[in-house]
Amino acid sequence: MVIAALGVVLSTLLAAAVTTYFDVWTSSRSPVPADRAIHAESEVWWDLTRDVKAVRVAGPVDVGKLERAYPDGDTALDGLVEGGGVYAGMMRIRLTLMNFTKVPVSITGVRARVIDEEPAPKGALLSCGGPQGGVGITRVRIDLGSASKAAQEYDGDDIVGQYPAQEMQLAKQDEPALFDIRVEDGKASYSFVIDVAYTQGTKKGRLVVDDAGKPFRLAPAEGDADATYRCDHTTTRWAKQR
Amino acid sequence: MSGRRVFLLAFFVTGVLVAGLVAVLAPQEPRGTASPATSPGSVPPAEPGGAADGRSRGTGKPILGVSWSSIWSATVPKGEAVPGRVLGTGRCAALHRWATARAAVPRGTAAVAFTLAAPEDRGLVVRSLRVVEGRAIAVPRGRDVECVGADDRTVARGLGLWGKLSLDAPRDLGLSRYARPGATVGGVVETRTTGCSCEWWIEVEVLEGDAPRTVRIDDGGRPFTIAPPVARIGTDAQDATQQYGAADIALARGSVALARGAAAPARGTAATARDAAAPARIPRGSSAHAVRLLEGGAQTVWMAADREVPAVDRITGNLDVPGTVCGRVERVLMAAGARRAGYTTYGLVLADRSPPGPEEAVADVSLRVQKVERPRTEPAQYDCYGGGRSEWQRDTRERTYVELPPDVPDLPVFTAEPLRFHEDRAGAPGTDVLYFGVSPMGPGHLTYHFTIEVTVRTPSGEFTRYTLDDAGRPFVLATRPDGVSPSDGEHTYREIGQRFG
Repeated sequence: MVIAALGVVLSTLLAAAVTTYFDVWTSSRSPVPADRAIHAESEVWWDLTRDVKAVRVAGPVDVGKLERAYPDGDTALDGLVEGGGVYAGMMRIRLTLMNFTKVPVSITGVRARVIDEEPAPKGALLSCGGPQGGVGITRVRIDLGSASKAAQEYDGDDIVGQYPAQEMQLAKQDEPALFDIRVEDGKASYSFVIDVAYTQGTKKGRLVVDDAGKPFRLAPAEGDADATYRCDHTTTRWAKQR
Repeated sequence: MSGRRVFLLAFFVTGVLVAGLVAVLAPQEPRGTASPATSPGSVPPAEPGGAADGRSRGTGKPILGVSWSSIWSATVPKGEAVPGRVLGTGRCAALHRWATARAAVPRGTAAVAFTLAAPEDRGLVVRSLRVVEGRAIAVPRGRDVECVGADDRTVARGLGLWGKLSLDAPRDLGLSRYARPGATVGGVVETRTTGCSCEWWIEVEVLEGDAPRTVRIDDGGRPFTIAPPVARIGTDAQDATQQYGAADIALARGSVALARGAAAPARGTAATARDAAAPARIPRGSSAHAVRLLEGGAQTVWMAADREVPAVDRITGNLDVPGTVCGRVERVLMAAGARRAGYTTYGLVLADRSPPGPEEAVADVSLRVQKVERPRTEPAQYDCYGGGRSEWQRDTRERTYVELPPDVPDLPVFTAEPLRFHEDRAGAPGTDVLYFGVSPMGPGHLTYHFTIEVTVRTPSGEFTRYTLDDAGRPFVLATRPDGVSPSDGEHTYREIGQRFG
């Protein structure tokens, strides 16, 4: 009987030890749902050494008041958008795609999707910045005036193909995927989001990216404006062009 | 039956019974859903994060910290020694990966990044968030590790801090965040505790379309963990380096490699100067640390590697992301064992809890060369110029610079340099920083290994002497024979465009 009891005890101890390791082993392999562990952040910005940053507002604008209220043209433009204006011409959208899983994610497609369309506001157009010498290369661009609005890859001014033509972006657990997209205006004032298609292992997924809960908005810089203004080279004063 | 047979019969029968029990009770791995695996004994989740299709889901992961001023402190259970390759300057990401893979428990504070995905057909509004205390766990015993400058690079830059919440005094954080159908919304939360040694998770109250739900966010199915704080490992000087653009510092308590240098300076008075190797007493309250400043802090990336590093090609395939490329290139090269080459700015930070007044202390600083070696094969040189920079400019904060020749074992940098300690805020240790440049010289490719010798002296004759190195190893600096601002090498890259702010 003692021998039997010893056998039971030893077996139980062994089983307990095995179970503990088994528990640890399976827990460490618990899966994260692959199709919902990608996160996207977006940021709208301009490179004032190569881009023209512009805003269209409905109605006239008092540039004297702008000069007093804002320290420079750049922040004045942002203030006008907060007050209801729309960025115009072009914008850069930096996309950061963060992968919460161990399995790398390939970004297989990027395209703009228009969700609302309006004619450009008729009032004033204000702009700052512009190319200052050589470096104007933008690798990835979306033209809102095109039919497909898919991201295209460029080599200088030559179009190479629809993304991904040269370099497929990967989002890995230890390094998010990052790319800057230069978005160019179309014929109307568009509200849009960006659809990102991705693949993880054998699973395909789609992610919608917007501007912190709101759609991106871009108006045309060409076309009828009642008045146009440019910042001067110190970006603190506005000069009327027309 | 014989005794042996009885034993064996009992053993095997019990084994079969227990195995059967384990098979029935063991965690079932769900496939393709977000239901967390529950191990026997743990608290079941309030709401599995999206068991059915078309529902919002949440995912979280523990991260290093929320900003460059964060400190990450954790205990790795089981006393496995922390390997040297995850300790030292710029190694926090590696230390965090190593420790997290061994179920490290954060001490005092725990930072978590998370994402919530809206279903394809409905928008998601996040209305509130709280942290929930789970089952108690034993206070972890093992190796304490720490990261100074715990800025987590795996986290997207736009992922904002939603709140710093206490597990000891839980409250609901009211929010109004929106994700349109198919989109994600996410953030970072920092939890802290003074007494809880426990599991924990995040619960968010959301509106999915019109339907209110509670979504649990945890670590891929398992709760996060946290335990009460432990004593700091890093020194005041190491903390202070972070505000000057230094790399993060990965530390482990009691690590032999860190016992020299800044942690055990020698102190004495002029009378014992002759016997300066014997410390009169172990000082408290003063510390020193020296760092090479990183690309983000104004230096271009110039590095020499023993062999080509293909990972750099993948990063530099996309140079049109200004402000990010050179930093990534530098991190990849450092992880591959490459060393800094050419003119380099170092920052020497001194900290003291009862600092001498202005005009009271001076410092002598010199470089002690331990070794000069010539690589056996020609190193691969990498250059990266960020944000509109096309050539090198001396850092204007430098007080001086020195040229490091191969035949001088002790090179003075500062002699009787006046120190002026200042406190950033009341009660903080006084700090001062000395920037200096080092230009390694020599015929052909050489690699210098050196320590930085610092003596802080006061007029009364008291002195404190430090031998500073790079977390247990000498500083390493290679020469750059192809000129001060190399511009057209095989691995010379320039970021396109400029980011402001």
